[in-house]
Amino acid sequence: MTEQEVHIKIAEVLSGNTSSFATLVDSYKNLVHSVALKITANQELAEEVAQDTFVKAYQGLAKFKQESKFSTWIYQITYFTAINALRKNKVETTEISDFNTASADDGGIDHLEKEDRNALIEKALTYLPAQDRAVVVLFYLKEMSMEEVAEITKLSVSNAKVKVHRSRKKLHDILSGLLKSELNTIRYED
Amino acid sequence: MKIDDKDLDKIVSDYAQDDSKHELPSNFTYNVMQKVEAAAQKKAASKKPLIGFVGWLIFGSFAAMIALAVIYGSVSTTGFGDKISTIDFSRIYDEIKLGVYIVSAVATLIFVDMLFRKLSNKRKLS
Repeated sequence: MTEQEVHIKIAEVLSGNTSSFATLVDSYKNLVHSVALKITANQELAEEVAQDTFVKAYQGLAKFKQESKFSTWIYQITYFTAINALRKNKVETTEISDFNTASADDGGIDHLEKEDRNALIEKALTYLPAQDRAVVVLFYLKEMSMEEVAEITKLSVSNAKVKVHRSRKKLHDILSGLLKSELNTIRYED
Repeated sequence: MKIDDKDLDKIVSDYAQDDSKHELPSNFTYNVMQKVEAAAQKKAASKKPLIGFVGWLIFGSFAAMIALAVIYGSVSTTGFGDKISTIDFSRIYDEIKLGVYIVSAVATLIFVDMLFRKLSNKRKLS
């Protein structure tokens, strides 16, 4: 759906044609759900977040400034809804200091199968605080520019850069720690 | 365990773009539209109060006039119109003034009482 088509649909919804909103939902549901799923790492919560995102989008449609892209706007709603949902559901995060991040040259993450690698990253992401996790996901999901990340997160570009950098560093440390403990488990089982 | 930055970027990017776990129920749009319509109805219902702001303003002014006429209107007059025209505003002003004096006096008493209590507490502690 092009931006122009989106604007036409929005105008229709604002003039009272609620069913036109269904077309927008159909076009953006996968995008919204995939972001929600990556941030929450929970199918049920992600679906709830995706639904709430669209309800909020509908309620705030009149406020949508057509200067920015609709996808950026919907990402923004998803980002804040997902963070709030994580906080509401009190998804606990483990302190990074709990990990032994000492490095040893025992091989790298490349040795793992894609599925195992993804599972490990998913696990590592859950150890990050909600906002850090969301920022990392946004940055890598569609290879967004820092300006886009800043617009979605409502941070300044320089703050967004710092946030992404710190979150990447934390993720790096967590992954190193997780990999080390995984390797120790494998050795122990052998 | 070393992961260099390039590796990290690649694997996180791969993970972020991996849609294998991405499953949406077929009735997702329907469910959203149900919620949207419910929210729209709720909003419409809450947006239409039975009496609007202007209505309340007129009603409030009328009620205030009646109250003033009953309390401050001349006792000798009988008709409601006469009572309104004979509202004694100087009496209202005097009573507001009296109210301010009473509130100030009570506030001063409370303040003095608090001051004394603090002082006596300090003396007890020392």
